[in-house]
Amino acid sequence: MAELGERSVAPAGPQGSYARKATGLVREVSPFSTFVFNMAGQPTAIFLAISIFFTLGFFPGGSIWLGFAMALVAALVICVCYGLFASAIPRSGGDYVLVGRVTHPVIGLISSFFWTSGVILSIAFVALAFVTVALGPSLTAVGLVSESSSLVNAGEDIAGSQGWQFGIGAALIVLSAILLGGGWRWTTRIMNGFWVVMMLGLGTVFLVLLFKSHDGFVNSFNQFAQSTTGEADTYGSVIANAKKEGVDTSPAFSLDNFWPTWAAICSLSLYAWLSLYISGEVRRARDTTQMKMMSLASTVHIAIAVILAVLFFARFGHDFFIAINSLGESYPFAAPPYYTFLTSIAGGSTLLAWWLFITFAIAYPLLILPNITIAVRTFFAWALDGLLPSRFARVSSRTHAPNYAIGLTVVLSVLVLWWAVSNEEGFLKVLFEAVLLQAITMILLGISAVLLPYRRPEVWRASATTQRFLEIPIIAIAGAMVAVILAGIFFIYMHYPDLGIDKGHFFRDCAIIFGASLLTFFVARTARKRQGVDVDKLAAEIPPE
Amino acid sequence: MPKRRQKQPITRLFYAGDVHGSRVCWKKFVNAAAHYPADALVMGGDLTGKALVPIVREGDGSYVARVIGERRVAHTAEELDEMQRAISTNGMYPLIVDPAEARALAESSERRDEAFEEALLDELRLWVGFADERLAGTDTRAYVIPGNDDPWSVDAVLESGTSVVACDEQVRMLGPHELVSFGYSNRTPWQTPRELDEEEIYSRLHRLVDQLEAPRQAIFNIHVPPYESSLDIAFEVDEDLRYVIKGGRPHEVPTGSRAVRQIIEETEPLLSLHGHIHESKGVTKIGRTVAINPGSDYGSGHLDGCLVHLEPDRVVNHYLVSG
Repeated sequence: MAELGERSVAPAGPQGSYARKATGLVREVSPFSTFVFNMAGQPTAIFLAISIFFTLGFFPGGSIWLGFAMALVAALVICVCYGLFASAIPRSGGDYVLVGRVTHPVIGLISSFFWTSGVILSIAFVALAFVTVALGPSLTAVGLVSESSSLVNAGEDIAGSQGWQFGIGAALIVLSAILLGGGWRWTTRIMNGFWVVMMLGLGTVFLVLLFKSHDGFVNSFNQFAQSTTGEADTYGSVIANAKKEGVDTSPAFSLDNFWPTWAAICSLSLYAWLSLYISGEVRRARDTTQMKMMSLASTVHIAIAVILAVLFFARFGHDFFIAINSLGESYPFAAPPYYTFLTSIAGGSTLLAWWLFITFAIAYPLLILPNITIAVRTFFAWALDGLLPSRFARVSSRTHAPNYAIGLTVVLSVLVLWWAVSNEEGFLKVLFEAVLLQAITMILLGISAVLLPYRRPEVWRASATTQRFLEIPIIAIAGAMVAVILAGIFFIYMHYPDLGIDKGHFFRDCAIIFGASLLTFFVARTARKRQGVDVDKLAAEIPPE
Repeated sequence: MPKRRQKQPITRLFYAGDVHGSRVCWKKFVNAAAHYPADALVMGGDLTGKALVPIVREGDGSYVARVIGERRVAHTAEELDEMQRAISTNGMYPLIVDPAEARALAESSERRDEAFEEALLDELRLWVGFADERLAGTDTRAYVIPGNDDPWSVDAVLESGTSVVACDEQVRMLGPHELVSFGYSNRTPWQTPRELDEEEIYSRLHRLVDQLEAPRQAIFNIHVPPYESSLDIAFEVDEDLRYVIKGGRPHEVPTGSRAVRQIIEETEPLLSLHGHIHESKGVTKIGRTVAINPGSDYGSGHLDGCLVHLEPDRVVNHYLVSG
C-alpha cells in the first residue's frame, strides 16, 4: 500500500514502474518475521546441543567443521531453489501447492502426506525432547550448579518418567495450538519474542566463554566436580576415562565418519525455508526478498554454530570436549554435557544456570510453532481442494484461525507423542525418521523446481528471476542440485545404522503413507464427482489460452 | 418416513474479482467456464492494473525494463514479447518508449495519466474481444462490473461486449436467480474513482433490491464486502497512507461497508459475492446468506475464485479455488 501513496500516477520506484492511485494488496508477514520464521525451523540452541553431542560421540574424526561448511552449501542451494520457487508461486500451502501445480495434484498430495507425516513426527519429537533434553537435564544441571539435590532429583524424575514425558509434551502441543488459535499476529509476535530470548541465551554463552580462559574453565570445572567425584582433577580423569573406554580424543579425519556427521548436522540445518508454507502472507513475496531471508537465516544459523563451537573447543579444551561427549559408563554427572551445562559451570553462577536453562528450553516451543503452523496450513489447503471435509477450511470470524485444522493437528501430534514416549527405541529415531520422510518431499520439490520453467513457462517468465547459466534456468539447476543433495542424505541415513534408521520399519511407514495419500485422493475424487465437482480440476491451473 | 428431497436443477457459477490488469488472470476467468465447468461467470470488479512499466528502446535496438526489481534486456522480437508477457502477467502495463519519452514520463504527471489511460483501455478492449470470441456460440455469459479502482472510461469498453454483460447497478437474471451487481466501495484513504458514502451506498442498493421478485433466491455481486464479516480485514492506513502501528505491528481493522452488511441482513439473499480486500479471503454466513470473498493474488498469475453450485433455494456447495 505504501508505494501507492501518490494522489495521481506516481514516479517510478525501485521496481521501475509507475503506480496509480488504487487500493492494494497487503501481506502481513514482514521480512524480519520471515527471517525469524525460517530461523525457528531449526533453532540453533537445539542444534548445538543435539548435533555436537551426537556427532562427536558417534562419529569420531568426522570433522564437524567440514560438516558445517558442507551443510551451509547444501542449505544455501535449497534456499535459492525454494526461494525462487516461492517467488514464482507465492502461495500458502507449501509443497502441496507447488508440487501439485507443477506436476499433478496427486503427486502434490503424496508429497504433502510425506511432509505432513514428518511434521507430525517432528512435533512429537520436539514435545518429547522438551522434557527429556531441555526440562529434565536443565533442571538437573541447575541443581548441580546450585547444589540443590531436590532440583537434581526433580530433573531426573521428569526426564525419566513416561508420565511426565507425555503429560508435559502434550501440554506443550496444546498450549502452542491455543496460541496459534489466537491468531497469526499473536503467533508471530510470540515467535519473534522466543527467538530473541533464545538468541540472548546464545549471546550469553558467547560472552561467558569469550571472557573465560581455558585454564579458568579447567579450574572451575575441577572445583565444581570435586563434590561429585571426590577428585581434584576430574578434568584430567574425564579424558583418561574416555581413553580407557576406547575413545580417541584426537581422532584423525575419517571420510567414512564424515558423511554421517554431515547428514546429522544437516538434519537440523536444512530447514531455513519454512516460510515457503506462508508465502501467501509474506510481504514482497514476488521478488527475491524471501529467498534472501531464507539464505540469511541459513547463514546466521551456521555462523552462530561455528563461532560457538570454536569457543567450546577453545575454552573447554579439544580433547576434553570430545571425551565428555563420548563418555559412556564413567560419565560422572546426572546432567548430560550440553553446552548450557558446561557454560553454567564456567560461569559458576546459579542465576546464569537458570537463565541458560530458560533460553535453551524456550527453543522448543519456538520449533513447535512453525511445525504446527505448517501442518495446519496443509490440512487447510487439503480441505479447500475438497480432499478433507470443508469444515477443516473454516476459520474463526474473530481470530481468522482455522480451528478445526488446528484441532486435527493437535490430535494427531498427541497420538504420535504417545507412540514416541512408549517407543523404547529412543526419541532420536523419531527425529531421524521425520528427517527422511521430509527428505522425500524436499526431493519432489527440487524435481518440481526443475520442471517449473518447462511445465509452467508463463509463471517462470513472470517470476523474480529468469536468469540462466549455460542456457539452463537457474531454478532448474538449483532444483537438480537439491534433489541430488537430498538423495545423498537419504542414502547416508540408509547406509549408516548408527543414524538410527530401521530400514524395514522406515519403508513400511513409507508404504503406509504412500497408500494413505492415494486412498485419500481417490476417495475424495469419487465423493466430489458425485457432487458434480472434478477434484483434479479444482487443484489444476485453468488453461490461460 | 422423512421426505426425500427432490432433485433440483443446479446452476454452476464461477466468481472472481480484482484481476487488476493481469491478462493471464482475465483469460483464466473466461476459460473457467469450460474448465470447471460453469454455466455463468461473474466478475466482481477492479479490472484495471495499478502500474505502468516503461520498456525503453535503446539506441542499439535493445529494450530495457525493470520487472519486479530485475533488470531485463530484450535483444530480439521474441525476447521483447516475453518481457511484455512477464509484465502483463504481473498485472502491469508494458509501454514501449524511447529515451526521450521515458524522460517525459518521469517528469510529467499529465503524460503519465494519459499513458496509463491509453494502456488500460487498449488492454481492456483486448480482454472484451477475447471473452466475446471464447464464449461465442455458448450460452455462457460473463457478468462484469467495474470496481472502485476502475476509471469511468472502462464502462464504455465493457458495454461494447456481446458475451460480456456490463451490469453495474443493475438486476439481471442468472438462471433462476436474480443477480444484483454493484461496483462502488465505501470511502478509502486512496480516494479512488468509485467511492460513495455509506448512506448513498445503502440508498442505491435499496433501489436495486426493491426491483427483486424473489429476494431470498437472489445473488449479490457487490465489490466491497460487508462490514465486520471476516471478509473485510485489512491493515489500517492513516491519511498519509501509512500503516497505523499499534503494539509494534500494523493494526488490523474491518474495512467493509456497513450499508452492504445492512442490506444483506435485511434482504437475506442466497449468496453474496465480494472482493476488494485481497488478503481477506474466506467464506462466512450472515444470517442465511453465504458470503464469499475468494481473495486475489493476481500478481502471481493465479486466479483466485470460487465455484458455487446453487439450487433455486439453497447453496449446494462452494469451493475456493486457485487456478
